[in-house]
Amino acid sequence: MRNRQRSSVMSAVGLDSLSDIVMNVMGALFFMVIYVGLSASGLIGRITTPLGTPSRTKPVFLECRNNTVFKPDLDELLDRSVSALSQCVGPDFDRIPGCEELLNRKPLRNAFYTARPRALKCPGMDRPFATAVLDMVPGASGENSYQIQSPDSVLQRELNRLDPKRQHVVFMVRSDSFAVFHSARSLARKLGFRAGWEPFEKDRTLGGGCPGGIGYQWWMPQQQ
Amino acid sequence: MHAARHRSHGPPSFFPFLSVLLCVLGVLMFLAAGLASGSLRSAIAHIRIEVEGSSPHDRAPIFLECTQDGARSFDDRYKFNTALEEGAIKGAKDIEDLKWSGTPYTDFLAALAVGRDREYVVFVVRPDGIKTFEPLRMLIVLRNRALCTTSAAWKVVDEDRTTQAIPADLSSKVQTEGGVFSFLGRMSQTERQRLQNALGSEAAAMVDAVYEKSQRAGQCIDHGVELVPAEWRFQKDASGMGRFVKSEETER
Repeated sequence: MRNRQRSSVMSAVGLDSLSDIVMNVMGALFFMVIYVGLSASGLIGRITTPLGTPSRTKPVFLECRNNTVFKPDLDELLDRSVSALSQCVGPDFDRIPGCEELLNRKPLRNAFYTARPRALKCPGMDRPFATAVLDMVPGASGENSYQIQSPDSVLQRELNRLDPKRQHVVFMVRSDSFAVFHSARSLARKLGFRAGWEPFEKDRTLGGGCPGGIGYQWWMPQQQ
Repeated sequence: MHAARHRSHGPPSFFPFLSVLLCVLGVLMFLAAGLASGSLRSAIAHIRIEVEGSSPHDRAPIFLECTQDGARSFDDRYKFNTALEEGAIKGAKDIEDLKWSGTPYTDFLAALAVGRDREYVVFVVRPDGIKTFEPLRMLIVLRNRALCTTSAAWKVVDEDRTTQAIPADLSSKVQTEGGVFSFLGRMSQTERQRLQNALGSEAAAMVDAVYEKSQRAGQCIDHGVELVPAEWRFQKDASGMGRFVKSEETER
């Protein structure tokens, strides 16, 4: 009986000492966490912006709209639209107005844009230049800043399919989506991509311009 | 008897209590450490814009913040209202119609082109400043095309004749491009004379034009663009460059 009591007392004393040490270590760690938390608020982050430079890699367009980001697949939509107009018009250019009207009644579309085919008279070109005006699909959106951080996000899966040595990403940034743009660009850079960007008004329609015109690229906004 | 009962209880043992406490603290520590490392990046409240690849010894950027009220530099040295520039771009049918001086902004660009070894422009665009930014940036692009390009193209009356007539030692500077030829770099007076002699009087005026243009070649203006959310508040600091302070809403 006495032996059992003695052993119980000794074990309790030993554990208390250990507990003291552990508690002290815990306390120190707590102080460290608090210090890191406080000092983090004073850190200065840096965003690096490149000067405009031409790139030999192929652009892949991403759009930031409604504070979400997605791949609008404009190339594919534009190709389909131009192809439909070309097939309708054939060799007879007088059919252009009729074909434009016909195709505009049931415009081609994807999840983010509808395409209205247009034939433009461009300086220095004998034949009309086929392109399309791209109208936004109302309410269309992609993934927000938090969703794109997941490796399973559509954006990350899309970027993982691309090759940073052959492609670079170009963000078309609507005025309501500057915040998500920073997250998406940071992610793209982390995955090794160089990035370009262009700001657009929130509700601006995209439209095709004449090739090689001053200041025009096919995806540049069209003045309306 | 009483003393014996008291002794049988022995000193109180804190073991179960301490075990539970330690477990709770351990779990809390793991949570705190995980959260601290995960949120460190988002906890950064101050943002400074830097130009990729630049160092303090390089040229200095002039940050032009574009808002709906116009464009102004961080140090308030420059303030531009874009109405004049916007009107000039819309009114011009061709790049040749544009004037490269006469407004505060075009004069600023002209000075920048001369001092391009020292300064360049970075547009800091706010969501409400896109309409301000577009004509300002467009003028730089157009100006670079008109004045800075290392090659500028002019139509040639007779391409075959021109191509053949170019003296061999000038051919490295002249190249044909489907009906136009480009003069690369700055032409000297001697080169101008020799080119006119080679091409004949028919092309003399054209060579003069090439010469005049080439004198302005090299006036390139580098520029960058950064997009800054409305919630990021600009704050001047001791470095004179300034920084942006994120509000909490930015990350939500």
